Amino acid sequence: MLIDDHTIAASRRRIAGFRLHRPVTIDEACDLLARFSDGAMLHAGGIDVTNRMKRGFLQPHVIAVQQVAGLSGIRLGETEIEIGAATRHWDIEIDPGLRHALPTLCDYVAGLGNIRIRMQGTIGGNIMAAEPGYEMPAVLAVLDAELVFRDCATRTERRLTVDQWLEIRGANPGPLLLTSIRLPRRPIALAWNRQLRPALSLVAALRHDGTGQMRGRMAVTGGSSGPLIADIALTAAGREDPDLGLVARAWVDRLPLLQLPLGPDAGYCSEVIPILCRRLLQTLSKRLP
Amino acid sequence: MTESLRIHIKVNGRPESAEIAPNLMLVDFLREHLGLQGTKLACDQGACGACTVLLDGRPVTSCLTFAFAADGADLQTIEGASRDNGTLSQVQNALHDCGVPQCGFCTPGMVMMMEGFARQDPLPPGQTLETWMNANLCRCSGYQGFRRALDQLANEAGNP
Ligand SMILES: Cc1cc2nc3c(=O)[nH]c(=O)nc-3n(C[C@H](O)[C@H](O)[C@H](O)COP(=O)(O)OP(=O)(O)OC[C@H]3O[C@@H](n4cnc5c(N)ncnc54)[C@H](O)[C@@H]3O)c2cc1C
Ligand code: FES
Ligand code: FES
Repeated sequence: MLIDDHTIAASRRRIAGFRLHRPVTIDEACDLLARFSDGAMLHAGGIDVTNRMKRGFLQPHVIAVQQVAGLSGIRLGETEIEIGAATRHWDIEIDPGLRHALPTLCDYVAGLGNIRIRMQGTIGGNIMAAEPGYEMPAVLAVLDAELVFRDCATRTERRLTVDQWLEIRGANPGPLLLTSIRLPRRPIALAWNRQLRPALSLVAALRHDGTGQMRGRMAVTGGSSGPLIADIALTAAGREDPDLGLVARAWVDRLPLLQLPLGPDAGYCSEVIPILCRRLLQTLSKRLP
Repeated sequence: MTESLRIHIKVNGRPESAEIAPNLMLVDFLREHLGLQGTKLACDQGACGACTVLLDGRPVTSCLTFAFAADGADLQTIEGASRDNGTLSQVQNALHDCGVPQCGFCTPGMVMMMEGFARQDPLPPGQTLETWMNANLCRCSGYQGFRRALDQLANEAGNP
């Protein structure tokens, strides 16, 4: 017996029919994405795909990428860490090599959602879902990650910083398959505060830049379509600066705006974000290698 | 437009094969097609854990998983949680001894999470059964009994 649309009665929200494609190579996945273009949706862990379809979003073609060779897994190079786009959050948490190279990233990922979501959801899905409260774009931005895409229209590779991706993603960048995320392999301190999530969460990274200065990046996730990002340069002596409140205020002033369109109001943000930032600075100064 | 596909899944050790529509959810496949109604559907959006099953040993939400994504997998549901001789598993016994189930609606998902936890090796630092169980909600709010059950299991494992 075919179990079809008509026999699906139990789910609260019915999902419209679609045609399923199950490529096994990146080239096949790209061909399909280029061919069906706007009518296709990639399915990695499928969490957001399913949730959106339950809300009525319909795509005639679904391209499941979980079987695609080379799209998942973690590779540690001398200078770079590469995480496949279809790597599940859980596999990031438990990877011994990554835990050695960048333990705070593993710890951050271990705090996302719940264990089932982390067993199913992928890092690429979190980035590409472009949901305001999703945190991986912010974390990867402060770690200076690059997103590696296969442009399926031109068959070329595109490496974009997270900031560049956030800039172009709203302007229909064409059929892009995220293949991996590359992170510089170097000593860096990472700290975060997720207490007010999903309304507001902060993540920041601090590292020595080799010229006696420290470089900091902070990202605020919450009520806007992508994270708000601010950079700061500090003299090494600033690390011991007792007035972290001032440093925090200067850093927060560099955020592009404090008004989060979908989140708490500007007054609240301007009070709370510097406090959270100050706490992050305290943690960062302890964690800085 | 719906094209069918054939999937092959091992469910509680038994091979199953079915012709399905791609938009069939795993929870519906289990409940409606296989008649395994122990897996419950509550929030339908991945938050409560009532629909938890083990996919290749890992707990997943069957309300957010298409049946096609389980093709070729080894699936375990609450119906396969008891011991081979039909007696309750250690986890089930602990929940029973501590009077955890009230209406019982959340219990299958809780049991599957606990069974899933026991199968993970390695575990990241700081993750315990208790931290995992934050992912499951009980509308009858039987959390105290649940805590006692966790203690009982820890005692049985020799780490009180
Ligand atoms: C209950 C719950 C709690 C959560 N809590 C948190 C949290 O605390 N913090 C947080 O950050 N997130 C949270 N999330 C979000 C979760 O991390 C994401 O839903 C998950 O990572 C998405 O991954 P996926 O593989 O299932 O994506 P999918 O649903 O498969 O895909 C999502 C989107 O990305 C596209 N896509 C997927 N892979 C690619 C690719 N390789 N190239 C191009 N496009 C691609 C898809 O087409 C789709 O548009 C939560 C989600 C739920 C349901
Ligand atoms: S019904 Fe699936 S998580 Fe709630
Ligand atoms: S016992 Fe009723 S929901 Fe948990």
